[in-house]
Amino acid sequence: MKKINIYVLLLLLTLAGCKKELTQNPSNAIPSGSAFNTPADFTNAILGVYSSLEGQFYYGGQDGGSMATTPDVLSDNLILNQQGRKSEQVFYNFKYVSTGTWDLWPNAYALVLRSNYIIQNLGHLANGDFKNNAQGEALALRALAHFDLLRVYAKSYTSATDADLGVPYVTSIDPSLLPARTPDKKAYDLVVADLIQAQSLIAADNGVGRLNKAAVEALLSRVYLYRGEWQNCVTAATASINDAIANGHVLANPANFGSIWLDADDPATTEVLFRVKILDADNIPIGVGYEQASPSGVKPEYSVDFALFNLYTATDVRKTAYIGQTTFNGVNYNFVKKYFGRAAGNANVVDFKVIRLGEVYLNRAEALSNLNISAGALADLNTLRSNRYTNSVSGTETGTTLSDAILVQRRLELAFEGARFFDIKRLNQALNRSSFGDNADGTGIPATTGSIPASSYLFALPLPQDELNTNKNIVQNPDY
Amino acid sequence: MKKLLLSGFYILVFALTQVFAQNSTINGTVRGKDDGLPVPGVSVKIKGSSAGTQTNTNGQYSITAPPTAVLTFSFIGYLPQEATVPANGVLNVVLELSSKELSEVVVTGYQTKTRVSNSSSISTVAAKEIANKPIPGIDNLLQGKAAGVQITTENGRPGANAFIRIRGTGSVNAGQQPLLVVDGVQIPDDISPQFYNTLNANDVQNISILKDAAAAALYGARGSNGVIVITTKTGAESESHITYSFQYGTNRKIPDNFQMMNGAQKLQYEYELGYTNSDLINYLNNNKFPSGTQVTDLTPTQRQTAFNNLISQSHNWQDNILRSGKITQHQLTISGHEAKTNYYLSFEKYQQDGIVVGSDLNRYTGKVNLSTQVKPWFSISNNLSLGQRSTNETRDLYNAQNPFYAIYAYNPYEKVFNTDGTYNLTSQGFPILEALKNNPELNKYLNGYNTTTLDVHPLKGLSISTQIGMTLNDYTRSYFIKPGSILNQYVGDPAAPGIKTDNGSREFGYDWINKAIYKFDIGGDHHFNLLAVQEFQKDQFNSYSLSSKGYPNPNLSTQNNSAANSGSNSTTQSIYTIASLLGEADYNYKSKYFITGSIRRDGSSRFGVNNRYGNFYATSLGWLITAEDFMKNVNWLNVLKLRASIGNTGNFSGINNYQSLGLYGFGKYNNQSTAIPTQIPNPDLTWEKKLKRDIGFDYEILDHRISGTLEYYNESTTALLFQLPVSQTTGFASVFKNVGALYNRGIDASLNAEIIRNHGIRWTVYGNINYNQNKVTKLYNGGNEIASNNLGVIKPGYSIYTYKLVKYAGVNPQTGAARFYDKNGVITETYSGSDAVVLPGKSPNPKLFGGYGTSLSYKGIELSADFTYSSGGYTYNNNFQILDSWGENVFQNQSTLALNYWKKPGDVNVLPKASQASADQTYTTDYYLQKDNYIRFKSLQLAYTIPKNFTQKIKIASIRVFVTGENLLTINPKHFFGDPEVGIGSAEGGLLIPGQTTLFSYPNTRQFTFGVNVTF
Repeated sequence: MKKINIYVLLLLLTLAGCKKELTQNPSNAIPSGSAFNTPADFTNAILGVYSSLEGQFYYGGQDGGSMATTPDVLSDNLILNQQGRKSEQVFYNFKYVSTGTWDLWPNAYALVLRSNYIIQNLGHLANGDFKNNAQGEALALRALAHFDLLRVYAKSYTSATDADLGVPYVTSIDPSLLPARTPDKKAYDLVVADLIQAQSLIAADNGVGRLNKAAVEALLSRVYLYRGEWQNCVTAATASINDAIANGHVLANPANFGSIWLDADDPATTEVLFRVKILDADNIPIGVGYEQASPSGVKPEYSVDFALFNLYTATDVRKTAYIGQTTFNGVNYNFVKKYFGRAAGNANVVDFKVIRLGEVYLNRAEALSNLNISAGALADLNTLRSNRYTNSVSGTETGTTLSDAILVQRRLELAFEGARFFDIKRLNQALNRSSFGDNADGTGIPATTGSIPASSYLFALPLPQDELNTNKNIVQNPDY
Repeated sequence: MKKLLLSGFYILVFALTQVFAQNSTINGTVRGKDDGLPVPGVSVKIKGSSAGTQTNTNGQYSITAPPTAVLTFSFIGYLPQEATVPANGVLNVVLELSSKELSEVVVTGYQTKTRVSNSSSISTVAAKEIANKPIPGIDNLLQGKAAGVQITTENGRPGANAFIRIRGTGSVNAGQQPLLVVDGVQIPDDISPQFYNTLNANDVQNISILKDAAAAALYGARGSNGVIVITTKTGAESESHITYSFQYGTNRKIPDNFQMMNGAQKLQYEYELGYTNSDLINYLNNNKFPSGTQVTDLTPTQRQTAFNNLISQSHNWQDNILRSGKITQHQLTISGHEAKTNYYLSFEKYQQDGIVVGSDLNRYTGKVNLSTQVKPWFSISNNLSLGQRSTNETRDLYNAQNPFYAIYAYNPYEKVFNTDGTYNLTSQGFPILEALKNNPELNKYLNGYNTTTLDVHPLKGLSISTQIGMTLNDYTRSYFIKPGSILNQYVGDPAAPGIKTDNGSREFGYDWINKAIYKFDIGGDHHFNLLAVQEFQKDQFNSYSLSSKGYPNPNLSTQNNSAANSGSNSTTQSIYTIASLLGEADYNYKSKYFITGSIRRDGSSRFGVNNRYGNFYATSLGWLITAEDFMKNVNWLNVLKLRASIGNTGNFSGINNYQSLGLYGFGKYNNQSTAIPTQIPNPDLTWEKKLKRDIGFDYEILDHRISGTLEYYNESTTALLFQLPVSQTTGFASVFKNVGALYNRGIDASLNAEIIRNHGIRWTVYGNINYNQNKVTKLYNGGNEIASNNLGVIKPGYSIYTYKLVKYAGVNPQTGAARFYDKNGVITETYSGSDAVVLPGKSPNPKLFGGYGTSLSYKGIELSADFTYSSGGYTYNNNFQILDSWGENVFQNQSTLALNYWKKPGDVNVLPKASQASADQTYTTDYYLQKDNYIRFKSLQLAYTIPKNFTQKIKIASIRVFVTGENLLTINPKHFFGDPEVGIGSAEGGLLIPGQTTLFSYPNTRQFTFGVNVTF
């Protein structure tokens, strides 16, 4: 019986030990409440906001909806390749519905939450440059995400009435939030407000892969352009160009333009004002929605529309930088090689260039042209053209010829860079595809959906069904 | 058997020589009255002492006893018998059959009970039902063996697991598989699939399946999906022997009913659709046709000449890709008992080739079970089991990297090799035969358990024990995309060719159980059995992942050969704990009225601080009606027992260990640290709760010839552990909450009959059936329905995963356009996913399933056959949709059904007008939703035991030879396209709900083996 007493003692000791063991904490995370104590915590959190840009349907998207591909698939720049995997066909054919839409929504709002966490916790930082810069980056990124959401899911600012709905402009970290859609124009106002505040707070240089003052001003010029506010656009673009030049950034010339797309441009002088860094080790193949490398040659998902192809002249450095030729299974194609990969490294893995000086010049040129300041507009256009053609010839266009030339250069400059669909939309134009096919000589099978009228509901993509299911305050776009 | 083992501990041998002075030796043979055959393993004891022995394999025994002694003979399945030692020293005995109810044991994992004293719902599967089968997974072997236990094999991959659902699907987001307990050790839920596959079925003594609350509530927070309790052999059941077993056979794909187009049919189809394939383009280029010539540009003669050229190189890709694989198994078992020690040792090597190159399974298992009585009041036992399973695996996704897509997708006129000897990439752009060699994926699972038990018996009827069980699962995976391989040219870095990924995990857990069992009687009529348990479990999981590129040599694949990292190398760690107290009390009056009650309190680290502890209780009642006096004269009814139970259980599996916490996690951007919010807190998170109710009866009639069980159950799950979707504007997609409810109600029935039972011949049949109704009754507030893989929904009022699809309305006979019903039932020619409607009564869940079979033995010949069946379930047949497209898939081979499309006005009963234009999709509609009813001839075994008088001459105790066949025939009454037993759709595609959809997963296979068991 003595043994039994020992046994009972042992049992009681075990019972006492168990209770403590019932509290376990993860090895890869900390409680949300202790994430913002030191400046280093804030730096990590800010980089965390940038990392959401790599989201799977955002700037890091691949072939199911992405900033690199979808705005061009939805436009007149591409023709579906019949030998490809037919990814994003639902966008190409304008057959999207709420259960199969571009799912940018969760990626962008994840970014918004991360930004808001920083903004809510700024009180933990001492006043000064570090705090200002943290706030500036968080605000600018929050504005960028909402702007991208508006571009995708809402009507263009210039066509919207005050009653038309935008997307919820979220500034809270409450996980039980069920926000209604902020009116479109109001949401655009909030984007502008955040960017203007960010402009006053953010540092002139935050290193590669992060926003800085010139980049925020560049984004602001883009937003103003989308709003049709020409003078504001000129002001912002000018500030951006001046701040960029002050930091050593200049427009790429014909000799080094190609290096941008191989990520071989000099970070000190590059014209890329903000890029989402995607390292080889991250292995996010953002170009795979355009083509796959294959043992029998490049296998395109989409071919470059033959009409667009012909707009690039032989002396245009963008032609060779953006477009490649391939023969696949005996058929020749023009494919998009903008994201084909670096000189060494995984195929289709490159940085996403969010905004470049080239666009800022075009933003200002278009705004000046709309203000009827033709000389200034032509000067900006010629600055760009002199850096894109090996046989640089200064143009002398005026009037609508000039404004048309600016738009043509914009299409050529920003092709396959997540702009074309949004440009057609903000200009309230109809989408008209050519009747060319997918082959390199324009033969082959053309698009089945040739045109979308300017007033079409299809310009505002349907909100994801998941949001409609979970948020009773959300209203779907009309006609879906 | 367990009883014998327990009683063995009480043997007090040292006393015997003093008490009995004038002993003599008694010999004899024990036979069974039912068939007159000798009965091995009968316990022979001297009444009033604990001295005893057992009969050998020929039913013979020999014991030393005093002249007037009374011997008792007892064995499972027979009534115990007593006899006085005769003067001549020879005592032959004939045992009478007893009821199963009285003799069969059920194992709850904490203790062993006779079936009669148990009034809960427990099915048992005996060793011989799963032994000597050419199938490695115990989960798969349970198919059709127990009522209410639905086993659906995942797919035909060597070493594939099975889905186990006991009495329906009881959860949505939490685990749906039962808890596995092996030799008293609770296996962590995430690694139990590995244990089913690495335990050797031939080492299993008994499997008890705990179904109702009274049985499963013993496991509290882990018991709601039921419990499978496996007990391994101990050696106590027979004399010492050595057995060598060998099995050899083949493994092939089960033929399916897809009639694929041949070269001529496919080319004609392509021509009709205006599709010019790349082989034809090459032919036209080589024959000086102008560039860009399309098939429709050719004259009929030109076309026929070109087609003939392609037809001449046509072949059947299945012949090139599939193979017949070998199966071999060797096993050596040594077991028995010496004095106070029982031992069981086994070693097994099992090898199975898959049906394609690059798919196989190699398994080694070893086992040592030892138990000994150290002192009269103290015994110890240790069970150790360790095995390694290595599998080479193929990809399971929807493209030509998957050989089981490729066999259908490649066009018959596409050659395997180009003329220069390189692999032809084909229209799929990918040669699977090259990939199977150059992209190997090897998975290894090393796992096992050890359990050590110390048991003291300080008083009569009291047993106090401590048991430490340890479980280990070590997983390693290596996937090598060899430099120079085709896949590397698609996904690799030309400057650093070759990519190697090594990842894996180790999970170690322990389970410390302290327990006391006290059995006592008050008077002669009141019988008590009390159980008290204190238990603590801790589980530690670690994982790693490494990936690098730049491999100079395709034969050198370890990470130290690489030039550069190619991914994020990482390790992870996570822990959970459970602390528990359990009490159970059994009482019966005159073995006529039974009552059991249990209560368990569990605390787990997985749940929120506000709800960390839970109490689980259950009670059951039993009434052995045939023990009543008024039943004495009802001779045809041997046993009738009515029983009922109620209780609650919990479910804590299937969720992350830290799911209740609000977390900020870490990652990287541009090679710098990032911090991001990763999880919404829920301090109230707690177990899913299931209330189980069960009422049923056990019966044995006509001299125990017919026996069985009939039960009704009603199980309702509430506070579902639910991944509740939240508005994504919050930056999150979901939070885990306890919301929603569903129920499963149904009937389980089983029947066993011995139709012929005499000296020479024995013929038995068995069958079981389950009828189940599943219904989701509540989601979360405001939640109307949740989509499941865009095919089904989880929606109140409907069975879980009920399909929600657009209804197909056939073809417009005038234009050939496809027509659909919109959500208002109006016919439209515009397809919209938003017109999908819920299809009541159509879900992947079968309404009826079960198994039946028969066995016949005559002298040394045994023949047994097992069948399984399922009825009332539906599968969305993606394979059918893809191979029978409306022209969308003209680039790949198609079923001949695709030829039957609309061609001219007036055509009816045809597919829509086929077109290769990209807009003409083959839409997802209920046209491709099919009933997957089946009856499968699962298993056939014919065995012959060579007569003993022959084998004994060569000093061998027995030789048994056998042949087996698995998956011999499938009856497919609803003409399902493909194999109607559907498990997962696509592992890599995430289509993991059993029976929901097909998508070219590894086909089920048919095995034939020949084997021999030799016992020395």
